[in-house]
Amino acid sequence: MQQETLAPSGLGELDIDLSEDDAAFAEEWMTWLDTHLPAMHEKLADAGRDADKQALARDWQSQMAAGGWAAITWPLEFGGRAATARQQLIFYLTSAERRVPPLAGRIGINLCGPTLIAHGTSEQQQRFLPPMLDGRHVWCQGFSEPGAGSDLASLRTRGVVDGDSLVITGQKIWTSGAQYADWMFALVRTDPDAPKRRGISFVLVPMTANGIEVRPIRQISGDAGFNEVFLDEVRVPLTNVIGELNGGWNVTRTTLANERAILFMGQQMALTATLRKAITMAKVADPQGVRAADDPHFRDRIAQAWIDVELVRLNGMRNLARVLAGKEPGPEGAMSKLFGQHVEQKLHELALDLGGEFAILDRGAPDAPNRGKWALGWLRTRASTIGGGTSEIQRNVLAERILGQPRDPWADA
Amino acid sequence: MKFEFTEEHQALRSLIAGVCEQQADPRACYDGQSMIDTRLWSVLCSAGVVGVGVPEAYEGGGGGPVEQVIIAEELGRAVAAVPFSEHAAAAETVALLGSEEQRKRLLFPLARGEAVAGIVLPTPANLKAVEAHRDGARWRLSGHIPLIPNAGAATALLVPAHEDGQVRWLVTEAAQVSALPTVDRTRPAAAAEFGDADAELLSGTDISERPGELLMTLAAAEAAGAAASALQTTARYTTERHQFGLPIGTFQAVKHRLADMLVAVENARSAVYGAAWALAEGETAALSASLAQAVATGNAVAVVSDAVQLHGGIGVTWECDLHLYLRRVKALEATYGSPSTHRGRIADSLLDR
Repeated sequence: MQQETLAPSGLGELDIDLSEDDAAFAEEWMTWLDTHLPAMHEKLADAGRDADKQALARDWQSQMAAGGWAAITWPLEFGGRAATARQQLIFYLTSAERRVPPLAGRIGINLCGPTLIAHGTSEQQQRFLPPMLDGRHVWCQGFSEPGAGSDLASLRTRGVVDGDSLVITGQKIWTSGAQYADWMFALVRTDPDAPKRRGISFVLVPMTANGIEVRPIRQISGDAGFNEVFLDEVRVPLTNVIGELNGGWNVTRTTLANERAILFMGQQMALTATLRKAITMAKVADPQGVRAADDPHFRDRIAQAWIDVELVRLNGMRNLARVLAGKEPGPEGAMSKLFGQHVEQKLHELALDLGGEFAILDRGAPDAPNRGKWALGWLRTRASTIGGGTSEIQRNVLAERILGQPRDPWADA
Repeated sequence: MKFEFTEEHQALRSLIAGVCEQQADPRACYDGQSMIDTRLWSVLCSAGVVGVGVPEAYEGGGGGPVEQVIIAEELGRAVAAVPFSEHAAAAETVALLGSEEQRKRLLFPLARGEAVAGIVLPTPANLKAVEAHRDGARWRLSGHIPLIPNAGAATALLVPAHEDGQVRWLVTEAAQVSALPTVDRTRPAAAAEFGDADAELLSGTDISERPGELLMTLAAAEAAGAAASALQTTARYTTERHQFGLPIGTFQAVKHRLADMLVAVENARSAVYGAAWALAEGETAALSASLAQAVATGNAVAVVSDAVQLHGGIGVTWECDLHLYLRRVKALEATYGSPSTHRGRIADSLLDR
């Protein structure tokens, strides 16, 4: 019984057994949150400017790191907990349920950290992991370039070896958080004569180095979460290269695998929250007394939206159950991005449409549905099927890796 | 653990797949040789598959919705011409509502498959069409039901009727059941003329939605299985068929359609498994069953239609098995409430409460 009360709701539904270790982990985590979370929620509620929020996110990360919660999947020796799949699930579900704020340096912890742990030298690990863990160094990812999106391996940012240094010139794009980052892990071409994937190196670049310029990109929503990063003869020591020189493509597989695994878990909770809100609002009359819930076409779309969100949940549960049983993730894991992003986009479009003619009103108009947030969500989610691998690339992956279709003739060997 | 099949489940799946591979002959129904695949049905009976959901005390397999869904999915994969789903729902009704004496008498032949049961669902139209009246210890049924899905071979019928303002279930072996030609000949429908047919009343009075929910889930599982099989066949074909000097699966127009088919198939399976687990836990499964129906049958029609398209000219020949699948999934989509009907039910529960 005690285990049941400790287990967050999603776990109860999966009906899995918690070992004593898992239960102890859950209890320690809950207790820690009880002590630290309320104060942080208060501070965040008072924070106004983005810079304040960013400072709080760093503060929160240092608290999490001190408690041993910043990177639970990292090995013990690097300040992690080597958490089991069940423990990760507990951690993740609780974090969503209790609105645990995101870490300032989550990109570094989730993507660069595992890569360093797998491929870095002991010196590199000692040097980079501790400040990455506690938020002293926030990281951004320099992979995409204007000419290298879906075809990432065609990237052209050059790294020229000059004595003990690498001199980097080129341009990165879609770099989330570059404006706040202290460091960037980047892919650069260090051998222009080798086949595409064999001339790339994985290198760590301080954002304070001479020759770096960050320019924000304003998106269709008006947000500026992404940046362009220009590198003009940026000099870094060769000891900042992770793995072999020209061996970066293999190193980066660790990074991309981690990105995939993390993506789907939070998705369903966000979708459920949006759907719930949309349904509540559909039952309320607009300023002229019209209820979306009375329109047969909206009723059908709302039912379909509920079905879609349920499917994301059920697919996720099937995948989780496989992983928790110690099996490889099945096809339902690989398709979760393709289907989930599509569902997210459709759901936000429905939420906006439910406002009827009032959907045209934006922030500031008193009758704007959901104070203009539906319009914002609709605009923001246009990127859902593009970022982290377009839906077209996902379809290629599914057809080739799961259904055994031949690779595109132009694909790299 | 929920959402994870055990080794026993996998073994059951392989068993059914193996039996179907060796014994199933859906074409026999198209050659006018037989109403159902009698050879397959008898193998399934002797393997104890037909009565898998019947409690062990009555010679059944003591399984539940999860096992039944696995079987229905595999039967769907082979477009097997056996009334497994309807028979299972009928047996479930007897197990739920029969007295101990009725269960003993009625469930043994159902578990062994000696009797083939059909089931009339308690839709408003069906309830209006049949009247039940007491005749001493027995009951008599009158009226006419124009369409009972997959009951062409039924020797016994489970029939709902109004009695004292509530729905009660009766069993009859005396109705005049006439098989009807169907688009999917592997699921032969029937009309029933009751004409004062002798019947007995199941003693239980709980109005249970469970037989209907189980039946919808199993029919959805058949659809999911059929779709999965059509996708598998197609993905193989697109690596073998060459045009422009390359396997056609090389082309993204083909590849991307295949990927969407995969998503549709996996969604269908997730929806069906979700309903199976809800039924197995004894939860209210009305929404889950509607979800399974809304997703699985509609997706299956889309997937099999795409399969025909990707097969090109071969796909529209009588010789190619795909039309058996196309007919099957369309029939399943139309049978126990269309996807839009089920979305309507879901909308009612989300918006009107």
